[in-house]
Amino acid sequence: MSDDFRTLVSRHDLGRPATRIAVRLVHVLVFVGVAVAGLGPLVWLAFASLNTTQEVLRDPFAVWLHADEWTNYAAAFTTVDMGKYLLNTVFVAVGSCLANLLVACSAAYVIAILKPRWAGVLSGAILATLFVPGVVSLVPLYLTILDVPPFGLNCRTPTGRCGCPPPRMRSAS
Amino acid sequence: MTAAASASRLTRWRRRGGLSTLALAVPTLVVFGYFSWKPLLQGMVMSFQKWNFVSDPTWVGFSNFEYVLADPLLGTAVLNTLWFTLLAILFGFPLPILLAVAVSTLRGPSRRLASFLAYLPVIVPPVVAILLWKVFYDSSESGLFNRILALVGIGAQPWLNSAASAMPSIVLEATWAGAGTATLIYLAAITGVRPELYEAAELDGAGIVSRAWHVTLPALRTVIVIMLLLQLIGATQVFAEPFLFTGGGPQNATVTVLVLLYRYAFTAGDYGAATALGVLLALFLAALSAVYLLVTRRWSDS
Repeated sequence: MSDDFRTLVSRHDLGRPATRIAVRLVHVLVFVGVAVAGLGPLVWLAFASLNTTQEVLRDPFAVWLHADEWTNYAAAFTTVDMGKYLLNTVFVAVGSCLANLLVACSAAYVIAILKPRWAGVLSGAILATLFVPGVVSLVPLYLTILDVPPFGLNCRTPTGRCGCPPPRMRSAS
Repeated sequence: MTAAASASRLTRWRRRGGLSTLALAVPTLVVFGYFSWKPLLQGMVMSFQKWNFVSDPTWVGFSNFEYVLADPLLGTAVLNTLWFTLLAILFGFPLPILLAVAVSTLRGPSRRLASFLAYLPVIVPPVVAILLWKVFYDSSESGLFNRILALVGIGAQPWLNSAASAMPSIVLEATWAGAGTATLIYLAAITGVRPELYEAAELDGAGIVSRAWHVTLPALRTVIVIMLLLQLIGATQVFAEPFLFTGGGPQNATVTVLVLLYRYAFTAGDYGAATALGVLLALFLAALSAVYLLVTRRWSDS
């Protein structure tokens, strides 16, 4: 694309050797910076996952040297129920994605295409939820998902309760 | 007569598709109603109630607010939150702008690669990133960051273990985790800067730096104004980082307002105090946003 060449730095700038070197230096610094900051921790994590805990703690710099502990990955599925957690994640991701699509598409169609007289009120009410900081509904939202009456999908059921037992349970037991 | 008129209006409404429109709005009304509007209103109501989990909640007037405002920890939490916000803006606000301007001078594939790398930290799930950095922050001699510092001759730092350095350490991770999104937004805004402006400035003899200062930055100012406000609001509501890194310690040095709110609700079981604190914070943020938008209105309009 020819437009790509019309950025902050012009071709004429790059014609001057001193400017060219300075620009290249900035580019190299940017690349080193984002590579170290963006890729570094992930690469370290990948290598660390192939070490034993003792090896990681003793010398976090040497994780490249003995990255051979492939049993860690098998252990993730045997010692903790990784398969189930992955399924849970897929369930949440797919579920929220579908719910999002359903709500967003139908709401957008009503507001933008069908345009009933109350479309303004509806879009205003939706926008308002963005402006009110989420902290107000933090606790009530917790109570809401704790007990969703029409579905019986409660976090409080004995078999599948949330990580943090609510005080109501503690006082009842 | 009037009954017949209203009946005919109803038929007309139905024939025009009023009923199907309403049906199409049902998912929105149910989901937003039950999971957004109801909790929001309930939160405001709960801040005036006392919950004891046995009988129904009772109305207690402003006593929740009095309790929260009298809590000696509230001052600490507010100061810690302000300290976090100040540091987070100081590091996290200019960095994405500089990075975006620098990346915008790259071309083609290398530009895409640089923005991808800058965005990578955002892809890491926040909890994973925080626990990973917690390992990096190991304060012993063999901790990863301390090893790196040792290479350049700096002694081992306490990182999260000292009241003085815990908050800056948290800010460092938060900046790393959040800079990618802001950089992408600024990059997209820079793409919209008209190249003629650069050419005109260059013909007038402006160097690269003064073109960035006098052309790029003014073109970005609307985005900058909004991004600063969003970063301010986000920083004020910081929770996951102090909660997972330190749990509020050492010596309450990283107890933020939301950590305090979490303790009220889920450690003490005092939902009334928690929602009262939430309402106070929301009022503060609303006032802050209003003042901010009023002050910057003249500056952000072109």
